[in-house]
Amino acid sequence: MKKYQMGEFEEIILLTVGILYGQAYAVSIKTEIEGRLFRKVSIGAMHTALIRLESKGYLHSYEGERTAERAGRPKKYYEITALGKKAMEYSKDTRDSLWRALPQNIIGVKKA
Amino acid sequence: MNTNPPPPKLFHRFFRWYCKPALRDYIEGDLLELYHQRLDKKGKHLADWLFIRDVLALFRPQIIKGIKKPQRINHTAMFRNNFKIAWRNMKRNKLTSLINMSGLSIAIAAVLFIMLYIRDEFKYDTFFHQADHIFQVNMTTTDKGVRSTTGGNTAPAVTPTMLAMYPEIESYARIYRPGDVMVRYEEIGSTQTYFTERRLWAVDSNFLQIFDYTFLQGNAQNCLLQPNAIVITESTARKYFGNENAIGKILLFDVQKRPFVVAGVLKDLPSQSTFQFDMLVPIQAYNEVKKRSWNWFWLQVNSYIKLKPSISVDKPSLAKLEKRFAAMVKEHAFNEKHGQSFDEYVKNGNGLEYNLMPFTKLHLHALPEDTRARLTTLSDVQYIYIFSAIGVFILLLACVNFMNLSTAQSSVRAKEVGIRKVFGSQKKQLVKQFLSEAMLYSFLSALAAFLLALLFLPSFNNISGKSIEFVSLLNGTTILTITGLCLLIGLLAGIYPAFYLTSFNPVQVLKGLSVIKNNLSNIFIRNGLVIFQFTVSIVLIICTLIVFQQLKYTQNKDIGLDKSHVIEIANTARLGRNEEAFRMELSKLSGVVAAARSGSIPTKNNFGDDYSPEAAENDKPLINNIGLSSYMVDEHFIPTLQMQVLKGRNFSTAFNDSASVILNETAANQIGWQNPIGKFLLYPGNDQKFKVIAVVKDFNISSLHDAIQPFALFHSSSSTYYVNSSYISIKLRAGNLANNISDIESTWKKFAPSMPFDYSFLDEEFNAMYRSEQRMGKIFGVITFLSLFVACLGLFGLSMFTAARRRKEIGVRKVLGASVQRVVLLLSRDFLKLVGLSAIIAFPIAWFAMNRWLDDFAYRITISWSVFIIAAFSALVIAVIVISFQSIKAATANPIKSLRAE
Repeated sequence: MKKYQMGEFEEIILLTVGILYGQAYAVSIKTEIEGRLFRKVSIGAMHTALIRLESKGYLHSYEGERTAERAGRPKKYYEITALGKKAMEYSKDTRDSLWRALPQNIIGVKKA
Repeated sequence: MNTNPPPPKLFHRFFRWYCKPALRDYIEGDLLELYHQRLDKKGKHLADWLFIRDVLALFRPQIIKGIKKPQRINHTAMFRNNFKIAWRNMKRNKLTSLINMSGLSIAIAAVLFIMLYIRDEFKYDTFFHQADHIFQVNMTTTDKGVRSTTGGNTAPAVTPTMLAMYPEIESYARIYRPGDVMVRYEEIGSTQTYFTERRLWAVDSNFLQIFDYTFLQGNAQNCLLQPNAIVITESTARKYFGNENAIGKILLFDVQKRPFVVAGVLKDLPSQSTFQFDMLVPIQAYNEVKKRSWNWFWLQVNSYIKLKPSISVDKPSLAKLEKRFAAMVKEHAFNEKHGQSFDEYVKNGNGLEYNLMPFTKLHLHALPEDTRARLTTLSDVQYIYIFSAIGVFILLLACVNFMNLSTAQSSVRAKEVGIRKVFGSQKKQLVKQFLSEAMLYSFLSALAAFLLALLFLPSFNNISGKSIEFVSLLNGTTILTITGLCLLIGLLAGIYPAFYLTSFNPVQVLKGLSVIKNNLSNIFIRNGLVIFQFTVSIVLIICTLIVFQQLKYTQNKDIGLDKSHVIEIANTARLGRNEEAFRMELSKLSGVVAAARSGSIPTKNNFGDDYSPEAAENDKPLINNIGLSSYMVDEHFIPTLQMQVLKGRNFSTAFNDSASVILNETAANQIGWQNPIGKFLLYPGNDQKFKVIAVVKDFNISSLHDAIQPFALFHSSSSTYYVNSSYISIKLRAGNLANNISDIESTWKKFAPSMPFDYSFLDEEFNAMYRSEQRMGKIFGVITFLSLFVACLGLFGLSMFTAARRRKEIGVRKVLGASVQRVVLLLSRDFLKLVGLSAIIAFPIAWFAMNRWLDDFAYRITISWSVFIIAAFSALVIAVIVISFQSIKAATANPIKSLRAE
């Protein structure tokens, strides 16, 4: 359904926020993605995606502690909302159904 | 804190600039965290480069702050909060607020009154139809090279000739004033009503068409066409006829009982009319004018013209018209009857010019000749300037006070400002808050000022001689101006305190440290303000004192005659042949010392002419022609008025004095005979010779503005010229005034049972000449009081502030044993120094100004030191009293309370 559509990058961020449960803020998300997926994440793209996700209602943010490293600036922690969970489930289901429909023999992609 | 090197400043600032404020802190924190991580792992250069890259990568629409959607500040709520705080502050500091507001209210009320005065003055005579096309004709003569203006005194022939020669002129009207006229109304079968009318004018028949006063009965076109018509005002009608219809009734003039028929009744003249008359008759009714309708040099009428509506009345056009008058003078002014041709006249160094003065300007800009001679309600444009200047001054004083007091209050508001700043208030908002507080004060003061104006309007009318009603205060322009004024005052007065109060360092304030910056510039400003206020006040005190001194001098100066206890009876010529008998009866009364008859008396008009002093053999005069003003008097005149004969003898019945003359000192000195007694004066008109029989001490016949002119006294038997009427001067014994007057009145009734008894006191007549100065003095007194009051308010507030500031210091001093007196002295010393300085500045200003004013008087006091000392001393005393309120309170305060740590 259109209402749960999201881009690839957004989905990755959502998943990472889930992985980092309670610890997800911009820098940690960026580090996590870069570490797991071996790809460089632009901080601009990431912040934009986070903002978009929040405005869609998939993420909810709250203010965190300040550290000396951040020169006293607070952190912004993100967590997944119920709506975000539904979106993730939808995304996973649609992808899975597509995977199940792939003819095994012809393409030769390893399933499961 | 963080000792690591900071990221690239420029980009850091760039980021802070473009980023949305809501996101800024968080993303900034991210940037910094990453930067520090990279510093450790990758070194500074790489960290910097990556920082820059990140900043640029973040330059995206979702993160950049939108210019189109600024923060919505709730203005209404802010203003409501501001006013609430202001109101609470006012209630908390009732005394200071009261002082502040009274200062401003007084200033605004003063400005209101001055505005009313000025507006009223400028409205004079503007109510006529096409008033800007009406002009008074002024005459300027050149007499042997000396140019002088006779003002509006012109001759009868001028305006008729102008009408004939110049098509721009639509109509003309002349005014002739016959002086006092006895008017009587005889109702058949009833008592007579009779009065002496002083404001009866003889005018051309179209006078009321040019000067279109409102008619109650009759109309302007034909009311004065009949030679015996008369038009009167409604109060005059009531005076003679009560509530009966005035039209058609007959009024009888003078002893001859000339009849005039009432043909019109005018509504009472508005107070804003320069012309103030009670009755109008046609100018043709007076033979002396009719006989001289050809005459260009009999200067007894005022001439007015009205230009056609299509003619432009700007200055260049008028100047062009005036130039063309020269042709008229050349052609018509010197006809055969005058005895001199135009060319002869000009050859002798003489000239004759006419110019036009706009009628609406007459009230303020009339020449002195007009003021003294004929018209009554003239004012002076100088007063307008003076009052405007005073208004501005008082306003400045009040604003200055407000500034001083508000700044002084700052110690109280410091904490509030500090807290507001900590909570994120911007300086702009704080400035707005304090400005709106100042506006609130000024608007409340304006309301109070309107109430004050309402309260004092009667006294104002009293002093200024006007009759302004309260409704004119509610006029749209006034209200608009006052609103604008309030905004201006609020701005002016509030700006300095606003910026001063908002410059506090919140940290210092909240720590409890004193924030009052006592740096040099602040002290300078505060002291400067006090000095300014007191200088103005002291100048005003000095001026008022000197004005009153001069007025007192005019009353008491020896004027060469004794004006005390002298009664003048006017128009005694009505008694005809019985006049002398009447005078003799009077002199027999017990309360009368002496009585004298004369053609005129001091303070009234006199006759002037030229005479030639004879050149005796070994006593040549210095000049061969002298202009002398004169009275015709009897032999009792000099002793009755106790004038002093210096040489020679008074007139006397023992001699034939019909060809005698008595000169005053000035005349004798100007003529320059060694021995004037026995010399002759020749009158060129009819070759009469007058023998000088005495020189009398100089005496003043008019106000002390004028120097004494050469003067002569002729005996009444000489009949050298025609006199309208005569006066009887009576010197009374002191005491029993009421009885004496009633005795005199009954004597009059014996001789003239049905004629009005017009009497006045000679000293009051002299006093009346100074009416405008007396009014000035009163107004100055009021203004001095006001400005002193405002200055004291300022001083009061300032001393309050100083005492508060030095609380701790006083506490320490008291603990160390200082007495109350010492502390008071300490606190007052600085202020008294300021007041002393103000006095020193004020002295030369006041001296200069008063010298200019006194120069206008031919006889004046010399400005003595005592005035300055009194003024400075009183200012000091007042200052001390004002300061002592606060300093005593501070000096008797409990030192424990002030020394307790906060």
